Amino acid sequence: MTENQFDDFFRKKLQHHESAVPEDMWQRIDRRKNKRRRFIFWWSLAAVLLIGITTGSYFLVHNGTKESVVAVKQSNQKEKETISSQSKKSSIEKSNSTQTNLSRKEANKNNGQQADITAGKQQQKSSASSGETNAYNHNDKRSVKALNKANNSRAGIEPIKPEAGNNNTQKQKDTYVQNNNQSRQTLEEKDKETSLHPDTLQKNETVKSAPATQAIKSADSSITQNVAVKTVKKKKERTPKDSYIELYASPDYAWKQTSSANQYSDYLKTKNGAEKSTLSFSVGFRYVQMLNSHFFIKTGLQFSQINEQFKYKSLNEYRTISVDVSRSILIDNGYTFISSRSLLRQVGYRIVEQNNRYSSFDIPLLIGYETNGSSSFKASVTSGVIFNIHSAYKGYMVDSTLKAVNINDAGAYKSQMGTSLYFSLGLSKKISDNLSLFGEPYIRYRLSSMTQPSQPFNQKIHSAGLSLGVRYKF
Amino acid sequence: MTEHELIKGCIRKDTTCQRMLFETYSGRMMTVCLRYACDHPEAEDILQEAFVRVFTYIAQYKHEGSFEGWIRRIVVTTALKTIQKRKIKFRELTDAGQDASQIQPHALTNLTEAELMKMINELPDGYRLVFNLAVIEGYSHEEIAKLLDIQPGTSRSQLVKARRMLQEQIISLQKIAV
Repeated sequence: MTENQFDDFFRKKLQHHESAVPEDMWQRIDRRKNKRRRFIFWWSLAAVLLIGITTGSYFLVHNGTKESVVAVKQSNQKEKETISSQSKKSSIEKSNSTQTNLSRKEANKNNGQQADITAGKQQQKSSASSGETNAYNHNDKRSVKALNKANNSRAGIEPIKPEAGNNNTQKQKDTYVQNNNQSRQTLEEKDKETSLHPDTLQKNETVKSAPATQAIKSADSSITQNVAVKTVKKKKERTPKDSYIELYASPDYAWKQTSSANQYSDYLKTKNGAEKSTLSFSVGFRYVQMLNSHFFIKTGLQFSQINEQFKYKSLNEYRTISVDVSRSILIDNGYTFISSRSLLRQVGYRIVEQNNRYSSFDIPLLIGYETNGSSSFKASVTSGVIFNIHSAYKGYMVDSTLKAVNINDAGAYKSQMGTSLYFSLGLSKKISDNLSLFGEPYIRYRLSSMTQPSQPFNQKIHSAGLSLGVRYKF
Repeated sequence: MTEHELIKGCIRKDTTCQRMLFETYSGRMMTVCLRYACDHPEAEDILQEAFVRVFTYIAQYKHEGSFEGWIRRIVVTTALKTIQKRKIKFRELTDAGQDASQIQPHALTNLTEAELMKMINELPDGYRLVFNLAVIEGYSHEEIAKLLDIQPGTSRSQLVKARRMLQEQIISLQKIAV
């Protein structure tokens, strides 16, 4: 027989041979098919939600920044106009003052006494003015110092040096106006740059505007009003919209809430007695979008695993063992060996020990409030809903016939555990400009039952934990 | 219902059509699974997974070649994926088998399908896979090499040894019969 003949024989015999298929195979395939379809649906939904939220937040943040840049530019143009009109005013005043001095000189020449009296008055005036001037200088220095401080980090912008004390009030005013112009230009440049960094902007603005407004107050009340109004306007326009990414992990404690009809209460007691909760955990990441300086929304993806120990003494378990018996019998003068094999069926109990796992992938949608507090510590309160997109189970459970069965074979639980409510209190500590650490004790309450309607009981698993993680600002 | 209508129904995800398709092919596909799997539960798992894939990807069937052949390919691929998780070792066993020429053609006539299946299942993993793929499914050694990530030469030698081991089993069966 050749190799080909040998191969053909096997091929012909087996190619169309049919074997027996387990009766429940179609049900198993049907169940698996639906599970796969639901799994794909929920993952697609989760992906679409994540992409939508991320894209939406991105455009929200960037559109907000553009608007604030435009607003700042507009207010700067208005400021320029006001300042240039002020400069014109002061130059006119300056020329008037020179003319007055000249006329006074002529008068001095003509009338000595009068000139003395005028001079005396003028001296008094000038000393009174010098008091004001000192005040100007003092305030100018403060405002300029503050501006210089703010501008020190900027390359290419000369720090503004306050001029030495001068007895001429008018000159002081001019110096002030010039300085003020320069300061405003610097402010404009600063604003243009800082408007791209809302957080920095808010800080710098506070530093700049306070002394600057103070200086302006003592110099010219009209300027003070203008600047003060504009400062308030800017603050309203520039709302910080920071975004963060949080990575976190949490040790969890889970507890069950079960219920059943009266006739199944004993079964439920037995079932619950076999399952003991052990340490569980959650890990995940969240995208945080600040809505203003206090309120925020969060979303992301979370994996939770609830662990429990299953220990159950399964009664009326059968096993079959084979017993071989050999013996020798003395017949006449010789031995005859007899051996026999019998099957023995034993009834007993079986102890099943297993670590059960209930895993779930979730999408949290949360809203919260954060205090400003001190710069390093912030407290927050967060609440919202957690949508379960897929759940998987591994382990054993007691079924209604009081047998220990595989959870998946029993088909007891849904592939989605259901929606949960979430509430947490948080505390975060800033460790660098972009990074902060946070701790967030939380409670998660499941709203719907995780059991299939065909099961004689309902079950929800609630959990509480402490999320510890890191928050990155980008 | 024709095969074409059955396929269209399955594309529409009509459960009745899916059930009919399963009833038509499940017996033959179970044989395929049993030939590859190491035991019955593994064969059942392969069959279940393979039919889920058939229903998922049925829209991709282009009506080129036989439909049964297309299903069979999915079953074989699923079986290989399941088995390869166990990390099969293509062992080189001692060459003590019988030559095919020593077996008389009439010696095979009394062998039933169940006996042949049993003999195949008793082959080591590597031998069994190559024998099934090459002899029953008709794959070339180059194709087998790609599927199992081995050298074509290894496939050839595994097939030769699988044949010899089967022939040895047949001869020993003949001796018992005598």
